[in-house]
Amino acid sequence: MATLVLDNGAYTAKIGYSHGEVSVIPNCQFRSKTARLKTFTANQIDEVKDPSGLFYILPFQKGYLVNWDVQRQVWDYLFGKEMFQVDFGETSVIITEPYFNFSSIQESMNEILFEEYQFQAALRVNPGALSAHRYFHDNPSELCCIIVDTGYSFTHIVPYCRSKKKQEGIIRINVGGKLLTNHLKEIISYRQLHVMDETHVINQVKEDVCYVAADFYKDMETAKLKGEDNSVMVDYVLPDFSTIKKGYIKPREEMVFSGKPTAGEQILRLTNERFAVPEILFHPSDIGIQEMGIPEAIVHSINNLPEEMQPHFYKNIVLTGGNALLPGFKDRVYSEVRKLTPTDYDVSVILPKNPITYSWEGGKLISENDDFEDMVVTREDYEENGHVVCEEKFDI
Amino acid sequence: MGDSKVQSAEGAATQPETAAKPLPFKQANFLHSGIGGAAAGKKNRTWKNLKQILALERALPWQLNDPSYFNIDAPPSCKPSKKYSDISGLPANYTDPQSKLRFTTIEEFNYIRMLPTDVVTGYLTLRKATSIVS
Repeated sequence: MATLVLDNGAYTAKIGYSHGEVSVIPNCQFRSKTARLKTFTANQIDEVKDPSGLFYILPFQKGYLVNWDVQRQVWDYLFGKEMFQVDFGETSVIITEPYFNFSSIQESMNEILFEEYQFQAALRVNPGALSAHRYFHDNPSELCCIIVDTGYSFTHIVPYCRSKKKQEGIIRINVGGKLLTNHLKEIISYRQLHVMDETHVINQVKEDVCYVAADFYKDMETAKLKGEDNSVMVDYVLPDFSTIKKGYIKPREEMVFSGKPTAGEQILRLTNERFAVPEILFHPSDIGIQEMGIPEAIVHSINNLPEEMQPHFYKNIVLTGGNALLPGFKDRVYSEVRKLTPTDYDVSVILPKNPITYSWEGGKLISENDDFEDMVVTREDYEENGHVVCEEKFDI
Repeated sequence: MGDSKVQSAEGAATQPETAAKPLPFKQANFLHSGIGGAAAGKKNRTWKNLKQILALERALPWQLNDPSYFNIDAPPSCKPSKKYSDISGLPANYTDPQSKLRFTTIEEFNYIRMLPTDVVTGYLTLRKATSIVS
């Protein structure tokens, strides 16, 4: 029997068979400005010829699955013959859900998995549990780890001790990649060019130019400088989708520091935006969100846990999720957590090679476990006992 | 999929109208989770929006110290928030008492004073600093 692992994120779905490779696919539908009537699902976005003014239809709202009609259309496409050709009668599924998912959403999920798609068996878990499983698999001597899952909608900090999550330590910061993209979009629109409808383009800009400052004030001083001394400043060439298909950073030699730049291409000149935007992850209060930043929240979470466990958590901080890919993220988390912890504790921050698919890989490992059979709920089980059995078995 | 129609809330156990293929495991007082109350038509099913789900969830009998969606928010930071100029994004030492916008240099101040009020409120909402009163 095959097992399909689906890390169903709010922005991308990480999907693949446990014996195969993972694909990262946008978990949403798109409408383009040019082909108004057509809806593009998931990775059909590659077919869009002019992705300017691309409109997103997301199944998730604030990180929770609420728009099932969109989600089912995406899943129909993913499970269908174009993509994974799932034989539902012979397949079990591992699917992820956010921490403290609402029970009504969980019940809808059960119904759709078992009754609509008729999977043979299902395992619903938190992405952190899969990441923790992967981590303990690679580091069998460790007892505890704390997963920092910084995704599209929000950031969760979840301590795991021997693959059991410590509920009292879970913290959510309501800052995620979506907020960063939107903020960048807004400040660019106010400062230089109106890009409010260009979420897709600006998201690419964010991924290309943003970084986490190691020393915020030093970089800010550099950003104040004029002309060539300003090493933070970059010119980003925006795509026009006819000759320039994808935006890129202009090589420094070609930058024009005084006077008007050459006509023909649209340029965004970015300086302090490059690091002030990711800074929100570390200081949400800068834009009026009265919450702790990631390093502070890690320390706060660990302090809520029994004292004997604390040193184990400090040396196993695992970063997952798309924001962890920002350059400098790991070093900044390390240096700030280091400053906030007693000197006799070791601090170690681990950034996996691919923080986006880390939990998917954990799911792949879980499906190969001997006790995987005992962890899932089979369709017979569900048909016999309904939601109760899922509620008992799954630790959401 | 066997849909059950229940008019009132869970407590009142009205006999559900079973669909073409009755499923034996379904409880008599089962209420389809995705469908708000009476709108249980199979064709135009409307899913609860997040606000409704949150209200429903809040009504559950939580214990005071149970971790749940509502109390795992990170507490406020101990560090002071940074002050950027609203115009350039550089660190700002000054605030215009009239518009409450922050600025770094005298040129920016001149610029702020020329801005129409809607742009000023736009800048302020960017950092959630608009006062509800005015």
